[in-house]
Amino acid sequence: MKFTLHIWRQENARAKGHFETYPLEGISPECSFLEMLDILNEQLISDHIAHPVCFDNDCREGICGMCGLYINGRPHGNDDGITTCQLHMRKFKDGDDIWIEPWRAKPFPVIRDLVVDRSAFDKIIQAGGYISTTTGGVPDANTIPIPKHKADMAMDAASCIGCGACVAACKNASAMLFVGAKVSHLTLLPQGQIEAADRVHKMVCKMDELGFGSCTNTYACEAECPKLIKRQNISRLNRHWIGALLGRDRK
Amino acid sequence: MMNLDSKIPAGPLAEKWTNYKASQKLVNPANKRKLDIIVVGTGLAGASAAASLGAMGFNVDIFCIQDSPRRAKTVDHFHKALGKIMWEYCGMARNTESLTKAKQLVSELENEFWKSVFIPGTANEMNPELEKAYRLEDYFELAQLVIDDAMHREESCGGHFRTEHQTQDGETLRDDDRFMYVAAWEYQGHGQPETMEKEPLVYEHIQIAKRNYK
Repeated sequence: MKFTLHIWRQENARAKGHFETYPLEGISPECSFLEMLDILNEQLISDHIAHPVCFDNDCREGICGMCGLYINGRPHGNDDGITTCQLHMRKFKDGDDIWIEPWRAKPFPVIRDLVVDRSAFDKIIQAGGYISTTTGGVPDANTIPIPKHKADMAMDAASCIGCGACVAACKNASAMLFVGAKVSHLTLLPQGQIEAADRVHKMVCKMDELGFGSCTNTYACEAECPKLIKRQNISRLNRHWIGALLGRDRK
Repeated sequence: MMNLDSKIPAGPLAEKWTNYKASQKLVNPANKRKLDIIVVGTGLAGASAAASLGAMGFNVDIFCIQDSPRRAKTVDHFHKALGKIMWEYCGMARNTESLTKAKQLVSELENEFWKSVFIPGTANEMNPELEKAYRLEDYFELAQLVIDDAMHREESCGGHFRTEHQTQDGETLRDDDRFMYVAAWEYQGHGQPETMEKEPLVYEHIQIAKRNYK
């Protein structure tokens, strides 16, 4: 297959970026999007055309959350419930123009080309996305009773891989879906309920401090999430947040 | 002030070159073939000069240093080549011959890597190619060690099959008397052979048995 790639090139965080156009031929439809970029880079290097295009990637099986690319105006490209590495070239038409951009959000500054610094997410997790009580060894199954539907909801929320597509998709660069998923997966389970109020307070404050925007309920995040995290996690976050504000011990 | 004088021969265009060849006064035309001219380089300028001088009657030799091919070899090129060597000659089925070959090929590839790998950019910026090169440097060392370890284990054990050590039915032939240990290799510095520490396998609760996959 044949493509015309328009790729965002930016040397570093301070440099001015621009789109660069690269024609690419002979791509197999079975190629994944990242493999296609590998082929492009191989050509750029070996023919001394340009510095290879930097893009984040790691596991290439949709579980690490590294490979966030904004492809033709959609995070992770034109398909639902997948990450960029799971997008295949057969999803495009032969001869297509493909526009590839990094995540664009103030809290995610560009490091180089398509690579952004997502450590803002780590800072939110560090602020409260953990359980600090000692839980001991692994307990036998069902010694702590958890209703099936709650376990399912916690599991669904826990499938968030922290890729940042929700922030990139949001016109306000809001991280509510991410924080909602993280708060939900801990708070829905008994082990996480002890610190629930404190956790939600710390994580939301950190999120605001880092410059993520507000949620205006357009749910672009839910539509673009590669792990299909539901917007109900945002409502749960809001409920816990209000509860935390009312019930918080203000010493 | 400088005058530009490109010394274009006089006369109509079609005759300029013929006239010039005849009227050129630097070297007597009869003596031209007695002079050896060595043209260094066969690029655009060198090749043109050599052709013109040859046409004038000089005895032209050309000398050219063949540069490395224009297509640069990337880190991935070497990574894939290394993987292929290991897969072919130190794969699930291996023998002394294939392992000897693997060792030689890896060492040749490593030499070529150090000589001709092309890494764009510098160390003072985000440079994934440099990162890959650093990793590949380790992989070369590790590949050599894997081959050495496979070479010393003269039995068919676990997931690996030494073709010299098999039963008549083609089943694996283990040698528990000589090889019932884990080989741990200690690094001795770059280019130095690692030393082996044996960690004996002692089974207290299970019976050592042989499996037959038929």
